Amino acid sequence: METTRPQNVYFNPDPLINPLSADAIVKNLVDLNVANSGIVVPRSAPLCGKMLPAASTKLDQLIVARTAAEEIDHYRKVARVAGDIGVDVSFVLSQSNEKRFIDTFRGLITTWEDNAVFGFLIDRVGRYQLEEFYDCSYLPLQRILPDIVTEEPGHIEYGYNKTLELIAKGDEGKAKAQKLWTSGYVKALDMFGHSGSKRSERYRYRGLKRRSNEQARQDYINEVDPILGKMKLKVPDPTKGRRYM
Amino acid sequence: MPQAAPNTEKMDEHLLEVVQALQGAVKRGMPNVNDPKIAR
Repeated sequence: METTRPQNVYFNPDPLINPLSADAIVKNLVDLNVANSGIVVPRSAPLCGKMLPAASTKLDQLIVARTAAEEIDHYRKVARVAGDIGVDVSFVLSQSNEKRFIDTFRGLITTWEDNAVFGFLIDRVGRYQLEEFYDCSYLPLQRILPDIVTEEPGHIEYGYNKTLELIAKGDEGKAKAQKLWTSGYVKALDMFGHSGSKRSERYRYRGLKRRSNEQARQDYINEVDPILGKMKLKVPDPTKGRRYM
Repeated sequence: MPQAAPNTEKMDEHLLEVVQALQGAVKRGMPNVNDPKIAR
């Protein structure tokens, strides 16, 4: 007889593991990997603080405001999931921007060009990380994903278009784009975490994530590198300057 | 079942208001994006 997984309850595939430990694993995942990892809140801060007033056109200003609204909403949804299992991530909201940023983001978005590269490279990593939770065994997390993931491609596309505009400005613009991409590319690859991560393996075993860190990173490389080629930019060395291999 | 963190509901409501206000402003601004009378 087929059994049905209870709705709204984390599926624990291992009867030997105490349900409290299972809770702890989910809390850890939601806290570290989603709500407090810097995927959503830090993204909206520089958008509102620096990018929005400095936008070159009214349309850009509105697009940035919309992106900020969407990023805040992503945080809201994930914070709700975290809050419902007792993980309070509200402290992130009262932290200064500098403190709030994880290393990967710190100092990265200060100009419109940074914002373009960030949108294309780093928002794409965000999309990859969120896609990991498709069909995840923790249903409250699974339920909020479709809306969030639907909005991310718009941010990525905007970054792509802005990068093309930068390249179209000529040699100087292209050189600037190449420099930013080289730096952003390495940071993006680092965001997938250590290869062979035991924590990542635990998440996979418990049905919370789909891919290993290295597999997700390779999929990302396979997607991004051809786009770089089309833009006539050099693919940066994927090992140079990396912090997590 | 684990206990919810304090203020989870209130924070959710507050952030939703922020998001809706921002989205509403963008929605109102979009049709006027080419209006020269409106300064950037």
